[in-house]
Amino acid sequence: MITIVSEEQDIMTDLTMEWLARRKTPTRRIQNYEPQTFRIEIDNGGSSAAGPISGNSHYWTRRGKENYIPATIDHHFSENLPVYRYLEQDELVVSSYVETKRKQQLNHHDTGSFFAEKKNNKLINLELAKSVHLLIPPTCVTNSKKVLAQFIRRHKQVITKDLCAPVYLPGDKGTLTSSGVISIGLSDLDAMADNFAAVFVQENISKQFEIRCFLFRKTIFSMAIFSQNDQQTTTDFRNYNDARPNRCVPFQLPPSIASKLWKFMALAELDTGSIDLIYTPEGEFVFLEVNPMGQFHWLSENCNYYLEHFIADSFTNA
Amino acid sequence: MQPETTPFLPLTIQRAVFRPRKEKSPDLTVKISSSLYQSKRVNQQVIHRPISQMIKK
Repeated sequence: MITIVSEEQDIMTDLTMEWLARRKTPTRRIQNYEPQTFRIEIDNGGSSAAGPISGNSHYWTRRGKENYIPATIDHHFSENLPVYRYLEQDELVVSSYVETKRKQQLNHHDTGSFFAEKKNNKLINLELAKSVHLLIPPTCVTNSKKVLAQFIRRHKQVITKDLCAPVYLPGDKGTLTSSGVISIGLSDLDAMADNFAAVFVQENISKQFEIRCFLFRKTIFSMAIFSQNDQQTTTDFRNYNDARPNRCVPFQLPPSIASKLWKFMALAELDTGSIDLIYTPEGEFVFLEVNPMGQFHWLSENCNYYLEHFIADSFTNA
Repeated sequence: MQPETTPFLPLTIQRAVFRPRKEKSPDLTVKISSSLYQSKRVNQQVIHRPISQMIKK
């Protein structure tokens, strides 16, 4: 049995399941909102567990995680109430145990991790990338206007982006959503107090093009994104121009860079993820960040990688 | 909620985009099933080119 945990809208899960169905491979899809029944017993004679841990030959945590909060609780309490948050903390203990045990049992037949996504830390990842001799942009995180001004004076061209996840603040009348990567100059500091919540800034690295890599187990698929011909996407291709999309073509990383990325993945304890790189006018590769559960359907389709086929094969041939 | 401009917040929040909630009419709600997705690509191949050829001069 192959189990895939995902979100309802994730198209790569749909496509991969179509291939698995074609192969007549028994597959179970768990939507991240579906309440799961479970049992964990630990005593002096050992431990036993039932539910999502048992009965799997492969497990792929594509997006989100299993939900162990019963529907009755979901219906009874708003997600914003303290009691719900308290229950969520308890649930994370269960989820963490289940994931740990499953990885022990299935070893390399368990791909992806909710907790890798949850603990994903841009600052630690930059340190790890640096330790395997990947270039990184000069970076600063501060809550001080004075320090921020010094960094901008030193690096001239500076961008700021989300330190953790993109801004998503739902309210009664609408939602505040991230405006992506923003160029920041000294004049922008006028709107800021002397001290503020943490701000993440990096030197704006000149680009010939950007590279998005999808890594799955032991294979890398890369795509060059020509974001520099469009003012909207010059700072970051993720400031998407839907009317006139960037040109995206297959790209083969030099073996030396691919080798460094695998070393980085090992240090970050990741077996899958999407990595963003910059290719500079000087011909250097600069590491930006990794997303353990990033989207890769657009990479697959633009480059004809047929990743859904590849992933389904990797489950059935392993 | 309107865009937050308090100076104690990082620019990522100050510059966040406000998207008003859309009032949906139940009669017009259409749910598109992901199973309806059909790829029109048929055996298109991956073509790797040298960097020099990829960059339009």
